[in-house]
Amino acid sequence: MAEHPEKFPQTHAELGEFVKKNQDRLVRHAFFRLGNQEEAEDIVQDVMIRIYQEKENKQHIGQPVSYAFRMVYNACIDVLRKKGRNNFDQLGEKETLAADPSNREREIIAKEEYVRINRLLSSIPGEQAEVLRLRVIDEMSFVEIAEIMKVPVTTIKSRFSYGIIKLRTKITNHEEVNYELH
Amino acid sequence: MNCIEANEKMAGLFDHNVSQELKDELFTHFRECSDCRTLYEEISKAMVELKPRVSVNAGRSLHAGIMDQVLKSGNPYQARRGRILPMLAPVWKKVAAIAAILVVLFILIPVFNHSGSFQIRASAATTLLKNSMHALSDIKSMYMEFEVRTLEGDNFEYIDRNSDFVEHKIWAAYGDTTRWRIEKPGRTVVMDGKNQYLYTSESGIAIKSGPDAGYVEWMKILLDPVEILRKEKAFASGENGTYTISENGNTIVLTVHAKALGDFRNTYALNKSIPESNTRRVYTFEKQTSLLKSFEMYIESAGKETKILGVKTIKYNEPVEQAVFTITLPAGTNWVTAKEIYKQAGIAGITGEEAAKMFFNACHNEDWKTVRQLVPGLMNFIQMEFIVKAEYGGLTVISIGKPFKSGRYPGEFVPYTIRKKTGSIKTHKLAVRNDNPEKKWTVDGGF
Repeated sequence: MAEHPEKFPQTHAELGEFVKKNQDRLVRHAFFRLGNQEEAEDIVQDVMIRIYQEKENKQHIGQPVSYAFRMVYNACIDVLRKKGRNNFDQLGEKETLAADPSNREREIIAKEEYVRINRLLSSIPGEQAEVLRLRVIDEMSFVEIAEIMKVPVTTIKSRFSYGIIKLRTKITNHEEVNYELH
Repeated sequence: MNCIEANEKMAGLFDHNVSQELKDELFTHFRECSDCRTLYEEISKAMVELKPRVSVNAGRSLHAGIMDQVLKSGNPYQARRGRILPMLAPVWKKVAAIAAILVVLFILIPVFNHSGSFQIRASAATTLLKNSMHALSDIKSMYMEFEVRTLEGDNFEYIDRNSDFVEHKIWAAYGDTTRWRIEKPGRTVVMDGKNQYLYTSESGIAIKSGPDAGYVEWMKILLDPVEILRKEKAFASGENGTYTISENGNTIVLTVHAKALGDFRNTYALNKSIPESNTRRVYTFEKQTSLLKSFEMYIESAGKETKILGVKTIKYNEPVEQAVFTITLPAGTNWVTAKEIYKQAGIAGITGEEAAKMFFNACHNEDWKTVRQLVPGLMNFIQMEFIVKAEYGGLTVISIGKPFKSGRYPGEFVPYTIRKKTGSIKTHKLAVRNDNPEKKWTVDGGF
């Protein structure tokens, strides 16, 4: 993102390319916040539509991908807040699973991963967990994370260091870690 | 550097594009300080532990859904979305990718072993070959980016004219032992100078094999660009095709018209891989150095050409980090040798058709012991077994047809129609083979 400045999509074709290039990352980001594929895709769809609606006013934005991530992030926080669902352990709710049995089993695996990862992240302070999430799950560079979180890169690195060291202690001590896929 | 400084700078090792200077500085300290080295190793492990072990991507209809909504004038939120929302990537794609890698364990492609007539401009060829000798000693490393119409995660030589382009990358370091890495989304193969390692991320398959394993198949030619002319010349010199070489300013262009290899009395396998397609391959070399500058490949079918491969970037002699030639597996995934995978696989004394029937009956009865025996690797890779169980457990066979051969596949294709437990009907061809000393039949694709 920061290393490769892009243009804010202005035409239908440009939006098409933008969606194609970034949809997987954005959906993954939203999924590992919400634990629900449909909600994740709905959010990404809404964000992309808003981006297109705002295209004329946002031409000056040089990092549309960071902008999209920020919008997806904010939308996820809104969803969690509205649902009062900041506890990932509530995710076993039956109504969130697909009706198709074969899809259901696959969803269970992904949701278990969601629970496992969020359980790990919940053991460290929120700001540090946020940096680890963006760095490890979303595979962003520290510069990109700094851009999204609107804090200096040095702060991001420091949060990463403190967070990963705490996480490593937790993993080493085998506290509440479930390594099994199923 | 002392420990405080090392701790302050260590985060930098876990960023994108780490500078060599920082690495040298920190690893020098790690050699002297076991505490900091241990910390670094434990942080690396924690990073792996935090990484998702499943791939979550956008559903296939999301892009179309967004674009449709945007096109609608007025209120884009007017219609509630009715998308199909698959949780992960399509299962068939996954299963195909898993099955497809099993094919390559058997196949080493005998592509470049023919002789015969060809068209050539002698002076250009001589220049190119002569310069190649110099290039061979001058080239220390190569980095290449190219795109292929194929499926993510599938075999490297698999092509699909109807697919989008998928990005591929190659790194190679030449010396006493050549090391290389080729990757595309979902699939990576590394040769570390001693062994080849294949890892497919979606299915969690991690296979270690000898240095001559055929994991990269046709793409092997791109790993050593100074050898391309010799190899393509040898290939096209027989009945398999023709080639021309022409000079154009500072470049020399090698064009190969390659015929599809294999038996196509049944055309099922035609155009499904690079060797099994009629292709036009255009290589452009720099005249002065003989180094490859660009490469494009087109499929020729029914009088129409479709571009299926195009090189975007080639860089030579840029530093390649050692880490490129290793694959770090996620926690819980371990390398399994190809020998181990095939140790107990296969059933002898039956026909290909009987092997296919046995496979489907075992799936119907959820007799996973028999399925494991027929599908190599199933017992080694938990994720792969999970997918097969979820997709095919409890199926009902509607029909099984007569086996046939096609293309270069050493086994047989068995047509079938099944009804899955979900009620969906699937019609396809099961790939079965017994090209092993014990003539044991295994199932390695098409399901």
